Amino acid sequence: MNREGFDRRQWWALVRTGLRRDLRGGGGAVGLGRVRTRGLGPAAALLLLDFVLGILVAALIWSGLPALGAATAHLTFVAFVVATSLVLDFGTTVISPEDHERLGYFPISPRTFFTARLSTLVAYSWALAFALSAVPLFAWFTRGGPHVLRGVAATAAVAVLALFCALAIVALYTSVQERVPPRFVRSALTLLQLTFSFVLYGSLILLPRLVQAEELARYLADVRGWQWLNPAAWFAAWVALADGTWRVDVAVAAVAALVVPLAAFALGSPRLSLEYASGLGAAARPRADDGRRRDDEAARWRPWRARPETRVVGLLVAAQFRDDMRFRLTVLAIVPLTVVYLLAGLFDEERGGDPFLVYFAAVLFAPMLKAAFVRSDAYRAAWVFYATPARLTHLMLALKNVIVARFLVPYVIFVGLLLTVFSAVPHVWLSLLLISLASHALLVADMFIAPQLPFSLPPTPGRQAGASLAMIVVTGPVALFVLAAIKGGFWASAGMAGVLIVLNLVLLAGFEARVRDVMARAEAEN
Amino acid sequence: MIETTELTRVFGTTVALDRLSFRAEPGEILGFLGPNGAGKSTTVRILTGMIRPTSGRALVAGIDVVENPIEVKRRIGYVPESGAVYETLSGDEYLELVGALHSLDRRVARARADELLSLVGLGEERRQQMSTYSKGMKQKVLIAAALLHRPEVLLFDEPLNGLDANASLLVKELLRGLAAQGRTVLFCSHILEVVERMCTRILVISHGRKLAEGTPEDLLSDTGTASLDLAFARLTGGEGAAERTADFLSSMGE
Repeated sequence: MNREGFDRRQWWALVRTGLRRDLRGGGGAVGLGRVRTRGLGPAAALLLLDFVLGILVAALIWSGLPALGAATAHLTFVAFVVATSLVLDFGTTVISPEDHERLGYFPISPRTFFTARLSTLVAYSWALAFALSAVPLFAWFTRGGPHVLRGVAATAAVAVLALFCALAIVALYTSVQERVPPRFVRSALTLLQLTFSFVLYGSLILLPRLVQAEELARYLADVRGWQWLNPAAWFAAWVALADGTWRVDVAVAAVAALVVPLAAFALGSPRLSLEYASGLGAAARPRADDGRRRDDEAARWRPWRARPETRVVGLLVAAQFRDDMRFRLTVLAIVPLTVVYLLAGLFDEERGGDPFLVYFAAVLFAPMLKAAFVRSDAYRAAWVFYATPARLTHLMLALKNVIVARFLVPYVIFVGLLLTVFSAVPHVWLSLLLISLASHALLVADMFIAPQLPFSLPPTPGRQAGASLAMIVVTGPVALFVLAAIKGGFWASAGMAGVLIVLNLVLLAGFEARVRDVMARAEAEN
Repeated sequence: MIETTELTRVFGTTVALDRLSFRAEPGEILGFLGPNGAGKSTTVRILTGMIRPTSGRALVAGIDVVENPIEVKRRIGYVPESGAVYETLSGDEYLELVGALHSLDRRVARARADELLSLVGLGEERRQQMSTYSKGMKQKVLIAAALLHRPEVLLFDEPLNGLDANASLLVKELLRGLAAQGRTVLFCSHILEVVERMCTRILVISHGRKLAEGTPEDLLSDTGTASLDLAFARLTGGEGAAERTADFLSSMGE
């Protein structure tokens, strides 16, 4: 053991193991899950996507905005991408309750464990932040002629901001574990995830809509007063100072950007230990009174005359949501995303715009849920699907049916009520039928492209955020078609409904053959 | 040496261990038996420093597990019942990790890993991800990992899980040899014939309490039975299995 309980060799071994564990993933899945994905891994694909998004940010920097405003925009985006990815994909890297089971009996000091865990998180944060900032940093070095100091300041701001995001998340999660009584830790973490997601998505999507476009332009042109509430602006102050913007508030913000990460470090560092992992592991385990609740849930998840496969999937979804912290947090990260879109859409309509985002959110909801419902830490148990006479096609369709019956329908009804009360959309319930059919078609198309059994694939970091972005890109045009039909009047809507019904039927008719084909390929490959 | 005094552990309202006291000496293989949920794994997890006792004391190699868990962890070799490993690592990589966690010199760790993996019969597979391993192969890696730093106390919780007959034979010989070198072995298993043949003494617990302790011969004579199976059933209330099975089989035949 080296100085003050920190062991460098242990630290390096743990960091390497953490990265290997998170980035390799995928192995050991059974049946269809064994089909290997070719090309870029999900994490690499996410980095590439961030790199491409960075080109847009660089255009903003080159556009001639004042350095403080452009840096604030750039760094806000960095903070959003890093925090979202950490919450969506790497949340369990912070939590990692399984570490205690695997490492608890080795002579590792809390300090070494904390440093290793933090190093892994910082590695992810920096990879994401610098993939996004590669082109923007070039822009900072070259905007209006070469400027090394400004480029260095921007590089430091990106690095420290990403570090701050990782530290802030660690401090939040560990504070909950430490301060909340053990029996409420699971609920508290769930609430934290929900709040976090709302804040993240809300700040990026809702805020620019709530403030007028001119106001936003004014904000970026001259950051002052309440605008300093955005922590990214504090780090942007470094770039502004390097660029020659000397103001008292800018200097104070620059100092805050130095002090706050240190405070977050002090808050999180004593807590992120193996004991913390043990506490979370204990909190994640079912409580003694769960048996009674399990019976209640089983009864609730057995609709009358449902196929046995539907009952199986319903039961699995309920049990996973109750006991699998990772799954619960993933699902709870999806809800705010769509709710924020809903609110933004309604707000747009109030201002005389189209409620496009309302339709977008409703269409997006089901396919995004499906992506979460096929991945779980319990993926090894999927052997049971292959060792029983249950038909794989029925199980996959049952997953779709559970999503539709238990999530999509209530969600669409909720959207319908919102539209009825707050919106002037014509023939609301025909619109809802269109939304439901479009979402269903996307869901079936997704299943058709990649047939997957429920909870049969291992969770892979980078996949959730990447899948969410891909789904958002695909859903946009679909939602536009739905909106165009609704605006076209009753008959256009009815016509579109007819087209979607046929599309759904065609996809479902070909599904069985598609699953057989994929199974045959999987067997041939393994 | 392992010594517990009035060891108690409560989870919520459940008493998992109830004032358990026992001692295992160097050179001894102590068989640790009990029905499912008796508190064996809880005891072992306390001895490894993974969880704290609610009350009572536990010493491993003369060190208090609560006061100095890190020192205890340096001296133990543990095979967990759960068989939990980082499956995205290969067998080689896992042993490299364990070597680093025990602060072994890199070359020493590698040499010992080679030696141990060869001994347990893992060949080229050692370079594959453990997610592709069978249960027995993972168990072999865990056994190798438990011995890598040459610990003085061995806590083996169901070490024969998933092992084939040859590997089981090897592990049993290994444990006997390690005990003969003066190491203390705590051996938890449900395979009573193995326990009867291997262990110098046996401790039986149920509902967290000690039911019996002694040599296999002591247990047989105290319970008036002819085999450890029957002695265990008598001690833990598992008698009448034949009648219950007959009832069930007749209901299946209807």
